[in-house]
Amino acid sequence: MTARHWIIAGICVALIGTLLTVFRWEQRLAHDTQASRAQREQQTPLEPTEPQQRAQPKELTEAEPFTLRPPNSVTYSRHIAPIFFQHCAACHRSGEAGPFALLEYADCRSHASQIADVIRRGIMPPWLPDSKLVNYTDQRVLSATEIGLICQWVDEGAVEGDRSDLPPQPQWVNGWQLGQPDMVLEFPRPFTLPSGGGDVFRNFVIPVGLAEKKYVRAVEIRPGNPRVVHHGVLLIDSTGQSRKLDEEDVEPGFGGMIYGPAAHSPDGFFIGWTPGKMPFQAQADMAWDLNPGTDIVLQLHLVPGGKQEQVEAAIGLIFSDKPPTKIPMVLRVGPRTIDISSGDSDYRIRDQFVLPVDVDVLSVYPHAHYLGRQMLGEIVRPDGFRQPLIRIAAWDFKWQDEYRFPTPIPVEKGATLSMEFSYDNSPENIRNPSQPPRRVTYGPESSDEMGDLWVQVLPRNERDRDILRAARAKKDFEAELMGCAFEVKIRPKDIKARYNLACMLESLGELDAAAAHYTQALRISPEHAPSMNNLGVVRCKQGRYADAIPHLEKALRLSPDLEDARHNLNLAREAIKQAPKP
Amino acid sequence: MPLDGPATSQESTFQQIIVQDEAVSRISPFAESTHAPLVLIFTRSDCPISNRYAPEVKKIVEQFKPLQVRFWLVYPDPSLTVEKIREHLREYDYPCPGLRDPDHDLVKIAGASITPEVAVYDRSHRLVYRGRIDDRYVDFGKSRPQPTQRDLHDVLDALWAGTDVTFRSATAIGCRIADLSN
Ligand code: HEC
Repeated sequence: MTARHWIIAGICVALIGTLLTVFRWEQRLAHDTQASRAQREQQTPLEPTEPQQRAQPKELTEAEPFTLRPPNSVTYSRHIAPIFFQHCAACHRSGEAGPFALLEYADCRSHASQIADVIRRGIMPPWLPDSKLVNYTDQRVLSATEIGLICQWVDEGAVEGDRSDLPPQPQWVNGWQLGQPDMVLEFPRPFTLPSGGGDVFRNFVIPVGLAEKKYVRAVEIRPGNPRVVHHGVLLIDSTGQSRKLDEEDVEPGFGGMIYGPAAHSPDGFFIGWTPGKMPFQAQADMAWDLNPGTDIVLQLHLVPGGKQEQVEAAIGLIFSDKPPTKIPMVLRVGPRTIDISSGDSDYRIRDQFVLPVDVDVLSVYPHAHYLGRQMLGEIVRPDGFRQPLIRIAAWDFKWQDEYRFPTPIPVEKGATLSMEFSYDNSPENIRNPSQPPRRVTYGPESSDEMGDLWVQVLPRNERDRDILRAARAKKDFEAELMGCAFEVKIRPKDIKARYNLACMLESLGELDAAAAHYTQALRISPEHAPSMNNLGVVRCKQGRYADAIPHLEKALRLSPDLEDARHNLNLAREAIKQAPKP
Repeated sequence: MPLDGPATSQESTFQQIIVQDEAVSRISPFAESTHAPLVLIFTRSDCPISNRYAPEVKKIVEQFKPLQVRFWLVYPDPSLTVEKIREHLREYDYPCPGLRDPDHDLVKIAGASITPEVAVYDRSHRLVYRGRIDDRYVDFGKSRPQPTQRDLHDVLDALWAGTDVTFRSATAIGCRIADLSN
């Protein structure tokens, strides 16, 4: 018999790559819930386990203790200005995110005791990761001596001292930090942020209008108004779906924290903007493809500052003239089955991924929303040696970022990438979006939760990249499938969830299970043409052509434009004709 | 010196406090508002938490102004000119006048130490509340999506209802006024 090409109606979730192994997803789901319950009972802080086996990078020397200087010898001009210039001024200067400048004595003096307070308690400079465990490029950390000097200076009256001791003011490049970009993209018109109310998540779609494919080596995002932009993420969309959402919304952009099949990060990279951070420029041999017809979506997290503000960001792209020879990949670890009951102050999730090839780890980006509390990401070597990638003791959604390693971390095949996050859904978590707390499940909106550790790695060669890509596709598919099954469990009456799960099962070849879920979907929504069509296709795949035909016919009646159903119906009729008469 | 409890009526002392308003005339907020409840809102133009409260302050002023409550924004920053105060009031759309308090006369009498912090006086100019506007902020960079307690609003409501209000205070989060003195 000739191979027939059955067309199932579009699936709503991203289906990445092919999955060769069929696994028992129901068992996995049950197992997962049990495991997380067992974990929860432990109630211990997220500590990297087995400290004796943990890596001790050489650069991380124990902080030297601060010894008080002779009384009244610490001055702004000699001791403090250099610290502020180096560690604060990137944000605390005019036009940047900081609420006041820290470049002149008078400005520093008029915030002196508050400065001592925030640096003593580690609130400023803002830096989430445990800097005693892992070092990163451009980390914002003060030494014990710097903290000691500032505190002594404030305690002794914050004197100015001799101005001739002042170091030269730091120099800043005006305009584009990486030089004039090859292409500049601007908002068609500014967005008006109201003076008050909650945080705003807004996605601005900017058509690129390229005539030919380009390789993007660097992106510089200028937020336009850093006092109210808390962070920005650059996504790409080649489906036109984001553009449609933008057009449907009368204001510039559209609301929500969407990520998904349509808009996603450029493959292998995180591109974002956070306050005070230099844009990252990859080596010339590392770049990502930007194809004609692709739109750029800039997702901004905006925090109202008390007065109305105009936000008008700009994006500069720097191209590479050669196709990239090094192509990094982003691996995602983190379950999509988050389900935090109201009041639970120590909910935990864990996930892992075994690397099928050698890689170099370039950076990490941990992500959770407002309930996230602690995070731990590690590499567990095949010999059991645990190398921390990141540990965050007090997560703050507002300061999320990508953390880049000064030198790539080589990791051998067989090592495990592992993550554990904890969440606080109790009333004591003052950032809790719901008071009193309510049950919170996995989802993209700020009132849902997520728990992802994204890890950027570089495979060593083409062959390894293919192997890794296949393993990643399998991992993502499993996570997606578990997520869909979970959605159906918590929202049994949701047609979209049910339909997505059925589609995934069908693509796995789990035809009986798929048929059962399509049937359920049709019970929820008897007129759902895609489910009707797909149920017909499943019956065809099972060789039950006669059963298929009524479904396909009905799909066509429900939706006469459904070309797929017409095509499938013809194939099914033909199959019946060809079949040997009983 | 911060006042630790309810002030006895110090009408005469209060009336001697003359500060500059944003129209550069010399006025005494206490003399201006005999027999009216009075609210001093301590603020500064470069304090992010103060500034974020502007919409909430506006809401409360608009709700209680028709009920004869007098509101003043007090600027204890000696380096802030009248020009700058006017600009700040306009930018943040404040519906009440501003007062320049470079010598911290009002700061001392109210016992204020933070911006934003409010001091609420009843009709006989007894201090009945000093502290935060509401409990949205619990620390620098740490805030609730919604307040669970609206202290300023609630004390004004009680005054309006004629309930006997005894002095209460609640710690405010923000910038320290002490950093502004010489
Ligand atoms: C990465 C950017 C960045 C760096 C670096 C930085 N700050 Fe800040 N700082 C901010 C932002 C943004 C705010 C406003 C926070 C808000 O609005 O809640 C802030 C607020 C403050 C405040 C007011 C407290 C508050 O949260 O309202 C003080 C004091 C301060 N910073 C001091 C410092 C000092 C001292 C340094 C250097 C040792 C420093 N900052 C480094 C971005 C930065």
